[in-house]
Amino acid sequence: MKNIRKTPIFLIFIFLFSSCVKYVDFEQIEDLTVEPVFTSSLVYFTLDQVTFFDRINSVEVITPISKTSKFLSLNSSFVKNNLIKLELEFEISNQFDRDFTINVEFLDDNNTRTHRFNTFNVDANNLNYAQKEVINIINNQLFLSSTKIRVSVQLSPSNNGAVINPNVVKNLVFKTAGTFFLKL
Amino acid sequence: MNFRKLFIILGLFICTVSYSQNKQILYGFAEMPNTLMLNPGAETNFKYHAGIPFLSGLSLNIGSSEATISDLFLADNSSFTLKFKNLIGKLTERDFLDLNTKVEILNAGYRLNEKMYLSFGLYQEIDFIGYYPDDIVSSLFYGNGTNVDKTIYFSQLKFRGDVIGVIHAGLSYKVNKKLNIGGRFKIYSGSLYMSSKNNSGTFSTIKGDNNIYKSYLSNININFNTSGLLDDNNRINVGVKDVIGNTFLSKNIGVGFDLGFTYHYTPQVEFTGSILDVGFISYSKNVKNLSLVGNHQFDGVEVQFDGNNTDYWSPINKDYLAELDSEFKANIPREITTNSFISWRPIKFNGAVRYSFGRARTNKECYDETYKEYYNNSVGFQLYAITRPLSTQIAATMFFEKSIGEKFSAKFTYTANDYSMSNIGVGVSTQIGIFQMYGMVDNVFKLSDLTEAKSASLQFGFNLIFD
Repeated sequence: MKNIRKTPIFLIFIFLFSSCVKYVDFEQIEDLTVEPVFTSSLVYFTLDQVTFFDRINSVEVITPISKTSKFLSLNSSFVKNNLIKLELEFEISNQFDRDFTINVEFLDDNNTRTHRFNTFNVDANNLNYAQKEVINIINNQLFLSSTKIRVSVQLSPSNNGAVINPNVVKNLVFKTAGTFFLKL
Repeated sequence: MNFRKLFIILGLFICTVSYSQNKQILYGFAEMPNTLMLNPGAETNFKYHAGIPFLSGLSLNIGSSEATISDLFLADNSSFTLKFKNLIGKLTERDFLDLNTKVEILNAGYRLNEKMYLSFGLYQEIDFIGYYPDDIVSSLFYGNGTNVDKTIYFSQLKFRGDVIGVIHAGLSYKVNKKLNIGGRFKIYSGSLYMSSKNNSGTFSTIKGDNNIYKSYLSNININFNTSGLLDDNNRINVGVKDVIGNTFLSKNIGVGFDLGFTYHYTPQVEFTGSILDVGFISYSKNVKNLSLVGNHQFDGVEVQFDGNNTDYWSPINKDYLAELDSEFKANIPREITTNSFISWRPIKFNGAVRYSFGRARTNKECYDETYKEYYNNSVGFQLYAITRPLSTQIAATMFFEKSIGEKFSAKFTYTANDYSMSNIGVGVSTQIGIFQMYGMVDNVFKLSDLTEAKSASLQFGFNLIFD
């Protein structure tokens, strides 16, 4: 009689500890590819008419004026291993009655050019100039050595001899944003 | 930490099968000594009992409200990344992972007199609940670039976990033929604690004015409380040996109580109820609290072309990135304190009504004043609730219990809860001489394939009972 009583619970225990599972493979987690895309604003600046006028000599500055600044450090192992592509957006608002040409270049520590975009030709009074540039980073060793970005802005000479008036407020607004395509 | 590891941890987090603390099968089952832990006012009918050390009560509960292991890890040759994307697409911030295990190291009881039964012991408990921080995971996985206007809510960050030791003593007291009440006093000792709750703040990237986009962290208030988790360098450093070894010796002490009753409305109709773990632990040892509070806005770096022509070619004299970093730290300072804090235990409620029928037996021992008769069948309804960070979780159970002879009982339950509406559980208990054992398992229909189960719960134990 005692043996009969014992039976059900032992069956249950056997049932409990012998349940089967489908074939699962936890190694699959190694195959996970995470490809986030992050967007952030980068540099911006505003130049007014005064910037392009030499008050002492009362002449326009028609040589390019430029600014070199440190760029995101691309030489880290994280960037080398994970940054696939960089997309740069440029938005330029030109209130001047004159055209501009703008050059964006990347430089390494020795100021040697590592990458450049085609010149942006911004027409007079174009308030909505937009340009998108894509740089493929992966295996682009030259670009990865960039440490600085140089933006040169050049006022184009007028067709009719008109000269800008530094007392009138007119701006050239330059905006950039970067979208970083990562693969982790 | 590299990002891949982070996602692996997140992956494991959401697919570990999780558990609830509901012990619906054990509750009120067969007058076993272990039911006293769920209702200190439960009736007992033995002279004394002793649990087999470490084996008198073992329970493991894991449950996740949405994910199952097979969702992710089934070896089906389909893309793991795609499966992962599908899963995080399904999960929302209301989904959670819940884990609870309890090991009774010592559990014993002794009848003081006809009316009073004293029980006492120690157990160790590991408890964790974490909600799925949908916005944060999605923004790390997809980035903000794909959906620039989306707002990320840090209030979704919510978890709580601890490892504690509990020393307890309780008394079950027979007031009269109809009513039995009981209480249990508990001393808690916490060896590991971590929680983050009541967080606020958002992150968004929108079209900007100064620049193309403006990203901002607004009203950030994020807190973490930990004890025994971080080392002197504020790195996570948990030695399993230390945590388990310190369970009963920690200086993080707390107190709490359980209350319960059993009321026989008629010999066949019985009401029971209990409230468990009303108490707190004061954490003061190895405490590290981290807080981030502030606002920060970023729309890029304004480059100054100086008014003076000669300066345009000036050397780079500014490290913008370092400046941005220090600006961020100034706006959203990170503060680490070692202030002690109080953690309330998750309170649990149980309530049940039971109707007994079938063949009645006479009382089986001399301690009972025979208002109660023993029937070989009973049916009933149970309710269970536990306070949790987001909301109280509730489970409703219907049960049928059957005794075969005096020594063998079985209980079948149907439970509806946050995880599923189709949870069938089975428990059996048997006594052979003085040796009593029980085993219970939840979600039996999923047992044939645990990887498909969203929750699983397992309890078993061995006692020595002296009638």
